[in-house]
Amino acid sequence: MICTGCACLCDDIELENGKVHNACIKGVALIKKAQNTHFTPVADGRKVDGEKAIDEAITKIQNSENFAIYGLDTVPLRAQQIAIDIAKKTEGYIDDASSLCMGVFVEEILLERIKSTTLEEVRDRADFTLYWGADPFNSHPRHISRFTYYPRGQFRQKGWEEDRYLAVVDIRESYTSKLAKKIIMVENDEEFIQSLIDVANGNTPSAYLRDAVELITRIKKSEFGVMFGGLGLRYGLSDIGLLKNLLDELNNLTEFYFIPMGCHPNMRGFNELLFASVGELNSYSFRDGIRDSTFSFSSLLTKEQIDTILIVGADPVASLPFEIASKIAKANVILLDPCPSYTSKIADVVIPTSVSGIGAGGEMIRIDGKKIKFEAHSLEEITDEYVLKRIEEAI
Amino acid sequence: MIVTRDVFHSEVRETDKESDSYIELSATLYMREEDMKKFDLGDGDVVEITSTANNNSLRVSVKNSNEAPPGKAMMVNSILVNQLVSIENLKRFKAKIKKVGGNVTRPEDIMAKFERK
Amino acid sequence: MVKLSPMNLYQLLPKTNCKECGEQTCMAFAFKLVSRERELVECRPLMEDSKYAQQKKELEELLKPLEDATETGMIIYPERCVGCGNCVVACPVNVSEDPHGCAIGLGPKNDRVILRIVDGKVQAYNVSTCRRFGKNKILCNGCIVTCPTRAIEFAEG
Ligand code: SF4
Ligand code: SF4
Ligand code: SF4
Ligand code: SF4
Repeated sequence: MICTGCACLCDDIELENGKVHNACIKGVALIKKAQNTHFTPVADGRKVDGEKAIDEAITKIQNSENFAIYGLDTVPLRAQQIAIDIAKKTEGYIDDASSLCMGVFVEEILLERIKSTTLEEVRDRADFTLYWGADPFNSHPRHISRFTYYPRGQFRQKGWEEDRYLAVVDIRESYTSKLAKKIIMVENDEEFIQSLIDVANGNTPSAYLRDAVELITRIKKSEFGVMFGGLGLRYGLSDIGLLKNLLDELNNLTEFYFIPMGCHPNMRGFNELLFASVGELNSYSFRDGIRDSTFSFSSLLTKEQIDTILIVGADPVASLPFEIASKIAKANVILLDPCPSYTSKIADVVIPTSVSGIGAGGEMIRIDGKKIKFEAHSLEEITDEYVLKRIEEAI
Repeated sequence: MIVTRDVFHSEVRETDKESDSYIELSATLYMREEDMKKFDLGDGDVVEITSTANNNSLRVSVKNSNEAPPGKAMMVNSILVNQLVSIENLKRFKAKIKKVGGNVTRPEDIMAKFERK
Repeated sequence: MVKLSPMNLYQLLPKTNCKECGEQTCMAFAFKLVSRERELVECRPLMEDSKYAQQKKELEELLKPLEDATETGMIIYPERCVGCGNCVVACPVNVSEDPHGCAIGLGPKNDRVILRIVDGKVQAYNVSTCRRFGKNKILCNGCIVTCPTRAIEFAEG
């Protein structure tokens, strides 16, 4: 079975006598929740049956003048595609969490301006791994053991002590950095990037001299290097060009790749599907036919520009800054989600759907671009795909 | 202040967002011991944090942690800390803290401030 | 396999609460067996009365892994473990016993491994194959240094 608890999409999970094997605690919590939550459909404050709730959602969407779809990062590709079709038909807005998360990095990768690779390649070949502004031990618990540092790989048979080097760049010591052979605590990410570029070019940097030299020396000695950029790097960078310069420099020293540390299991899938249909990754308005930062879900909310929102598998009430989240309830909110959340407390229509990988099969695109196929483990609840298809056919 | 993720927090988030342990993990301000001393704070003290980004405030309890960055404080990403952040920077912001005592802020206190139709 | 728990041990004890072992009840004795404060031989009725022979055998079977764990001294603190699998993948015994599973970062593909993750927490099996155990023991620390929360420790001695 697969776990959709994070972007690792671990596919070696086994269920036996009610016990979950191989998943981390985050995955176990998701899998057990999927089996134990009793979440009932709601329409305008009344408990109704699922079909009734879908009908009510359809009415609300049909009556909407400014309609937006948000979320989608935890559902399989087919459900995402139908959501894009709905946005197109309604001339609505569509966005996911990537506009606040890894979107900038994924865009560079899709446009082939940054060289990326797969996690399996990393496992088989990488002898230099750098986590920058990421703490996978907490965000992607099995990332380090499955792909980067501890596993043996085709060309890395001797184990982590001899064969691999792990470095962490962060603002603090984390559980991940405790495992690393080198931790570099930086205040200013851009400054450290510049120092690395300087050293790679044989110049003396104005800051972080020793650390930059040590890292560059390591990278020169390695055969296959990879940098994982997390939210810390994303928010520490005002100019993606600087990161690209660094990656170009590092590629002059050795084979070097970049993989974003997105958390959601199918964020990359949404980005790729929207990219295939309109050439943009997120924050898209089908009415205007363009992407713009003013069409990001948070901008639309700030300007109170939408009257009806379809939220699929996300909890923006909890995850967006208060100033923005506090406006969500002013619109009609339709929520598709496997379990109660802060958003379900304010939603007008709630349609419980199955957890991807447990009650819904399909495909997802892992954050490194690899397509992962999976089957449903049990088929008890309605899927996001079913609900979205019903909506799409009705409007 | 910086905002991070914590796997134990993610675990209870999946299980029960209203459980006491979710609220406890969300309403905690992690600081290094030397920084706590500077502010004359002890484990379990309740402080009021006021964000300079938006002037919102939150009451949380302080906890010693070596994972916190030196000279800064750290909270786990949740509905609580999202009171204080701005869209331009979800990960780092400046805030004032003051020892106040009493109870920590609960998610329902925040929900009560939501605008409605 | 029956789980090694006080309840399961209790089911196999004489359940007479005769207090000969010095405990007030058989249940209390069962708890102390698990915490290794008492040995099975201290229950004299069980040892001496032939009508308990079968139960005695089963109890000894059940308590075996505990003996092994005592000798390697491995202590697991499940509340600290997040199931990241670092120790599972790094343990040299897991690697050599399971080249297509643990060795390449996956969950175990056979029963010969020592460490595995069940319900998100590490559990130890086959501890007698641990490198810290037996005649040729070495001070292996594969599962200690790979765990940043120190969920696995070894009792020194
Ligand atoms: S690492 Fe992620 S995908 Fe793997 S078991 Fe844990 S939560 Fe699930
Ligand atoms: S000696 Fe044996 S039978 Fe008697 S109370 Fe103790 S455990 Fe029970
Ligand atoms: S001490 Fe070594 S052999 Fe024993 S369980 Fe730990 S890693 Fe494996
Ligand atoms: S014992 Fe430590 S290293 Fe092993 S799975 Fe648990 S947290 Fe990870």
